[in-house]
Formats: sequence, C-alpha cells, structure tokens
Amino acid sequence: MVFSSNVFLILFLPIFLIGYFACPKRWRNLVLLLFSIIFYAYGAPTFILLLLGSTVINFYLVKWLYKTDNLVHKKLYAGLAIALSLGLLGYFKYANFFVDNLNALFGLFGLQPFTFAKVLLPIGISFFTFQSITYVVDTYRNVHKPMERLTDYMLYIIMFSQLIAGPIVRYCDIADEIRSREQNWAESLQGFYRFVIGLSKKVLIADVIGRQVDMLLAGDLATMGTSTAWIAIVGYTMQLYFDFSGYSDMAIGLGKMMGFHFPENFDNPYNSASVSEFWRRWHITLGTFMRNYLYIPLGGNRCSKPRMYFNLWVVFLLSGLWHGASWNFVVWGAYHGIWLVLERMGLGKVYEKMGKVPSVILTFLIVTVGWAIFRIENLSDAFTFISRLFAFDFTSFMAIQSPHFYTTLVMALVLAFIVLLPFGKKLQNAVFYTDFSKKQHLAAWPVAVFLLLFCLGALNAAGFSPFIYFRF
Amino acid sequence: MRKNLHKILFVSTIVVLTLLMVQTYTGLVHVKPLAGVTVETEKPKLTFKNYVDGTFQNDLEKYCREHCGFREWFIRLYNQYRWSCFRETDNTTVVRGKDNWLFEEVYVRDHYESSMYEYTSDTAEMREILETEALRLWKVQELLKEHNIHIFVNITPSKDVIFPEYLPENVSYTRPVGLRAYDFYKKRFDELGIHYIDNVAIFKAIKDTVDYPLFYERGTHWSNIASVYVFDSILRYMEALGGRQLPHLEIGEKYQAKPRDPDKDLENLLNLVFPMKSSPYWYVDVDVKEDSTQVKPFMTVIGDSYHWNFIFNIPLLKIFQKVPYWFYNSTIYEDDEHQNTSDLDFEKELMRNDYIMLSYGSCSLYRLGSYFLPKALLYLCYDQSTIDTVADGIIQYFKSDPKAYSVMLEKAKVQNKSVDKVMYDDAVYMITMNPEQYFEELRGNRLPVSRNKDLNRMK
Repeated sequence: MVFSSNVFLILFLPIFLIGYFACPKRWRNLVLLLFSIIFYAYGAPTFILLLLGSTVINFYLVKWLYKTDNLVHKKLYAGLAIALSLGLLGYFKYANFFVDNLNALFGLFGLQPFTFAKVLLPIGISFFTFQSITYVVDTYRNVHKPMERLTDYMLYIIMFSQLIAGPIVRYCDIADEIRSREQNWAESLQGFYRFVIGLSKKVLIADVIGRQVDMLLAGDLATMGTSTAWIAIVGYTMQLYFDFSGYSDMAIGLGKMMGFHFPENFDNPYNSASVSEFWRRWHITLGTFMRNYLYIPLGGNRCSKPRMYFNLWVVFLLSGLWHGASWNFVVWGAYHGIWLVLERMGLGKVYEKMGKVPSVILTFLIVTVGWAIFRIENLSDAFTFISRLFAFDFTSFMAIQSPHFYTTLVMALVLAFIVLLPFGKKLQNAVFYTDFSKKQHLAAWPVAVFLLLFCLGALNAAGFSPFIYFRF
Repeated sequence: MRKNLHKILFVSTIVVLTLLMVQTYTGLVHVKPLAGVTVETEKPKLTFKNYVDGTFQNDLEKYCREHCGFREWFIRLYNQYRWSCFRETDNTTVVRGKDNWLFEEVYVRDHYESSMYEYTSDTAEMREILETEALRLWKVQELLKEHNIHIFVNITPSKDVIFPEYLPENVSYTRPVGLRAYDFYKKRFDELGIHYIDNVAIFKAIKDTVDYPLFYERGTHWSNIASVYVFDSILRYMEALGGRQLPHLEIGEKYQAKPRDPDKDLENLLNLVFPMKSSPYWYVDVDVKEDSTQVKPFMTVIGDSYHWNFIFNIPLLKIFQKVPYWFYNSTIYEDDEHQNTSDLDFEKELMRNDYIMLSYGSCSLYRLGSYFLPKALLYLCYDQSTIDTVADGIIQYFKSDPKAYSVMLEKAKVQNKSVDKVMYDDAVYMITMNPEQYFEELRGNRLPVSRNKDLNRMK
C-alpha cells in the first residue's frame, strides 16, 4: 500500500487516525504498531512473519549485547545481529542478481547453469535493515540505551509512516519519542499540511511528468533526437525528485501528526554546487547512514589520500547497489564515486572559482546524466541514450502533445531552483519551518483540504477514460 | 474556540477523511454520476488465496478508485482544471479538434489512417476483406429479392468526412493511410448494382448551403434536423425500391433548444464542471400522418449508433409495424426488450422483413453487416440439416484432435455446458462466420444455385 493510493487515503488513514487519537495515550504505541503490522501484512503478506521474526531475534540479541560486560560477547551479539539483518537483505535483494551473474559466467565457460527458484523481494527491506543496524550499532557504541519493550522496538522498525521508503531514522534520533512524546495539535496540523504537500508533489507533479517520460523512454533510444532526449532526462530528474521527496514529506508529515520528528531527507539537492554537496542534500538519511556506519568505520578522511579515495568509492559502489540489484545501479554509484574523488582531487576548487551559478548548472548536468544510468536498466541502452544527449541531432523531435506536461515540468524546475533566490528561501522557511499562527492555520487548512481532494481527483481521473457506448 | 483551534482543525481533517470513507462504502449522498460507460470492478471478497497472491489488494484498490466517496466531484474538478488550463483530457475516446470541435477518436484515426487497420495492415488484405463482404451483400440482396425482401445500405456521413477542416493537426498516427471502406464500397456497390444511399455525398454537397447544423460541435453523431431530412429521403428510396407507398414526414419549424441526448455526448464524456460554449442547438419536431388503408412494412435495421437519432426523433412505429434495431448485429433494441441476435430464430427473423437496412457511418462501414451477411447468405441457401451435416464433420475433427478436444473440454467447463453442445455451437459458429470455406458454390462472384426451401414456409 502506498500513501498515494485510494486504499490508504480513504480507508487506512481515517481508520488509523480515529483509532490512534481516540485511545488513551498509553495505548497509542500499540495502536500504531498494530496498524503498522496491518499495513505491512497488506502489502507483503508472505513476508510479515519474516519481518516480525527477525525483529524479535534482533531485539533479544541487542538486549544481551547491552547487558553483558564481556567485550567478546558484545562483539559476538552485535556481529550476529548485523549478520542477520545483512544476511536477509543479501538473500532477498541480491540472490537473484548473484545467481544470474554466476550463470552468465558459467555460460562463458560452457558450464551448466545453476538452477535457483527466483526470490521475491520483501518491500521496505532496504530501509528496515538499515534501521535495525543503527539500533545494534548505537547500542553497541553506547550512544543510546536499547528499548525495554519488544513492542517499542518493533514500532521503531516497522512504523508504517517510514517503513517502505524512508527516511532512514537512526535509533538514537527517535528512541526517546517512541518512549514518550507530547501531543501537540498545532504540530499535528502542520504534519497534515506536510503530508498534503508531499502528496501534491507526487500526484500533481511527479506522476504528470512521469507518464510522459515513460512514454518517451519506451521509444527507440538509438534514434532519439537530442532535444527529445534532454526533455526525457530532465523530466525524469524532476519526476524522481518530486516523487521521492514527496514521499519523504508524506512520511515526515504522518510522523508529525503523531508527535514524531523524523529527519529531513532532502534539502533542495539540485541547488548543489558540487556532487559532494548534492549528496549532503539528496536522500540525506541514506548519506548520513553511509557516513556513520560505513565510511567512518572504513577510516573516513583520517587516512591516506589513496585510502580515502578508495573508501569513497566503496561507499558509493555499495550505495549504488543498495538502490537495486542490477549493474546499472552499481555503475551509477561508481559514476558518482568518480565525481566525488575528482572533486577531492581538485575539481572542487575549479567549481569555487567558477562561482555559484555555473557550478550549480554543471552539477545539475552531471547528476542529470547520472540519472540516465539509474533509470535505464540495460547498460548498453543507457549509454546509447547518453550518447544521444550529446549527439546534437536536432533533426528528429518526438513531440509530446501535452501543455500540461510542459507546464508541470517548468513549474517543477522553478520549484527545484527557487531556493537559490532569497525570496524562495523565505517562502520555503514560511511553508516548512515556521510555526503557523492561528490566522495562518485558518487560511492554510482549507487550502490543504482542497489540495487533498484535488489530489484525489488527479489520482482517480488519471487514465479515467469511459466509452460513449459499449459497441458489443 | 480560539483556544482549541488547532484541535478543532485537526479533528475536522479526520472528519473529512472519514466522510470520504463513509461515502465510499455507503454512497449516502447522491452525486450526479459521471458520464460514459466503464467496466466496473466488483467489491472484492477476501480469501486467503487472493490475499496472499495480491489480487485482493489490487482489486480493492481498483474498487476504491471507482467508488471513492464524492469521486464524481473530484474528477470533474480535476478535469475542469486540465481542460480550462491546458485543453487536455485523459479521455482517449475524445479528441479536441480546431475551435474546440470534439471528435470521437475512431473517426480521427479513420481519417488519418483507416479503421481497416483493426483487421490487417496489408492493403491487399484490406481489399480482399472488403471484396468478400461486397460480394456477400450482392448475393444476399439477390437472394432476398426472391422472397420480396429488400436490403439496402444507408451510408451515414461521419463527422470527420464532412468537417475535416475542424480535425486536429499534429496527431500522432504514424501508419500510412490505408484503404478506407467507404472509398472501396462506393465504387464496388455501383459495379455490383447494390442498393445504397450515399449520404456522405449529399452532406458534402449541402454542407455550405443549409441553414441548420449537420453536426453539433460537441457530439459524435449527426444533428436532429439532418437525421430527420435523411430519413425522409430514405422513405422515398424505400418506396422506389419496394414499389409501395410510405408516409411522408411532417417536419415542423426549426427552433433553438437546450442540447438533448446524445447531441453533446462527447462533451459529456469530458466530465467537466462547467458546460462548454458552443453554437446554438437547432431542432425540429416530426410527426407522421398514419394511413390506415396501408399495411405497414416490417424493417430490421442493422448498424451503428447513428440510428439512435432516428429512434429519438422520428415516430417510427407510425411508419413500420416493427423496426427492430440490431446494434452491430449484437444487442437487439425492440419494445424495451434487449435480446441478443444469437438467441434468435434467425431464419424466422429474416423472413418477417419487408426491408433490411444496413445503416453504417462512413467510419464504421468497415464493419458492414457485422457478420450478418455471411450468416444470411448461408441460411438463404441451406437448411439447418445441411448445415448440421457440415457441422458434424467439424465435430469429428474436434474429437480426433486431442489439442482441439482439450480446448473444447475447457470451454465446456467454463461455460457450464456439455462438451457436445460446445462442439456443435463452435462448429456452427465457424460455418456462419465463413460459409464460403465449407460450401464451394458460395465462393466467387456467381449467385449460388442452392436454396433453403424451409424459408418459403416462413414468409
């Protein structure tokens, strides 16, 4: 179940909100847990037991880890807990990929392929695996005490608001709020506004652009005109941002309704003046996780330069692989890794000399080209497409007959870059980071409700194409 | 209240969401339904199997999408936004032409490509298909004449043919213009001596001179006035064809009125909040003076939706004993009962006619007869026992081929019929769809010699 579905918006959400706010505070975590289990069991019925089982095992391993003073035992429990999480992720997410590549290799040597029943991917596994790792590591590092109650831990792992698409919430950032949080109605209201903003970004921008982009990229990439290719990739760049950041907004908003403060996941990433900066602004919680739980343990910056470059590369290769079990994601990770290394080697200084605006434009181009590798799974097709971006062939143009698409794309570009201007910054602060006065609430609430209903219209009107009469 | 404002507003949010949910499941508030026909999803029933394989979840989402509380309002609101701001719609049935003229997509496709692409992309094959149908029609016409039944084609003009200047440009049809049924049939009908009325030519000739609309800007079909005048001409044509007198229509003065169904069916299909601006809608009222001394003829109409205008605008039962309307040779509209043509005693139905009108728009002419002609040809020449003998041969083939027989068994299971019944039905169906394959004398351009003698008893 995704947030932008009818089942969620008109069935799950109202029932949950009534159930959650109607019961006494001390029961609210249990209600939230119950609904989170329903949420997951609805979308992934065959994996719910696996998720709950692994959560129970992890909870007790970390409990023992915390209780023991024996460092070897501590390491053993931590190692087991992490191995369990990564083992599940490795098996469910990468087993097919591994076997397919192994068989391709066998084929090269004329060997019989290895037969293997395809493994289905449990939704959200990449997110809850990382969250369970932060729980183990934060407890191991004594950053925070572990949960006393199993239900509280389960809630941390499978809370529906951020279970399937993040943000990745570190244990130390949310542990206290799970134990106890105040109900603040003004915040709940702002959570609702944030949810609606996210829904609008997804339904009114990302989906509108996405439908046309899908159509363009389904065409013949080899003969695609340069202008068409740029429209497609810039469209996809906007689609991805508004889709993902919209989903994060919805998750953050839902959290706020209940009194949770999830970390921000996006900070106008396309305004970045370097690829390094881009990664501090795009999918921030993943970047933070990678830095704290992978890059720093590998040695981070506090090592020789070649080792640091190697660390960066490893982090980005794995980060690419985390996005999906396919070579295009690995190459996409490596592509970003290369730019990061180049920036550390001196390109960053060139950006500084160029000034803010040219660096932002250049970074945007680098990132945009990278999205082609991310979007087009077949690597050969991806490189063909990239070659068309720079073919300067303006003879063929696949026209999209949709002013709605172009208007939305322009609007998306404006919204993506508006924060570069002082006015945009003010606007962003006013909408996202200011506590509304009562008058502002009186104005904002009807707008938010209208937008919610408008999004429902967009969701249900998309593809609604009745016939005049049935012919047969 | 000011003190609790935040709480009130947030609780109101929950109330809004709850109202949507209640309306979804109860439909308590009556909302004007959306225009158009869709296939609706049934409310899914939860079973362990459909839950685990995910079909329940998919069906529930589809169901909620189709029944979301107040969805009619939301969809109209969103459609209005898209139409007002971008002149766009998600409805693939409706295409916006110049000056906001609306066309049904099939007409635009027929104009830029050819509807014959539905059958084949090979022009030679297109020609072959149309030639077969033209020959069948000629044979049926001649054979029916022996029973004093007159069959003729009423070619109604499609909007795209009469007003191509309003068609959209920059359409994304990429295939070359194929063979259009209208162009082929017109020439061939003349060569074969087939009876037909070409309203396309008439409409083209009068388009710039008439003081009433031939088509409405927002509708699929011809206008009320145009259809009335055409029907009067059809009556005169029938008089000449059958050698009998038929009443004249008494057509009143034209007047302006609010659009009636289905005159802005395409606009309705856009499901907007506000009506579109358009030219006035003109109408005439029609009456028929009945002549009690004359025996009213019996006419069956087989055709497309253009015939609805005759049904809506002309008191047909003052002219005819009965006028059953076989919509694409499928559903029968007669006396409020909607039977299917496959349930009829075909020979009896055929013989009770004085006239048979095949009424097709130039765009849907590629479906001429909608498989009525091969069936009519078959039953005009052979009685049921002869057809059954051929069917027996096909049944023997089904039985001897394990693959075909297993298909029949599966079909019998699905249709809850005996396998013998399914094999017989399939065999007869195959013969009626393509009788030339089973009866050699039906092939070519000569009139067959065989006659179904049973028909003489029925007339």
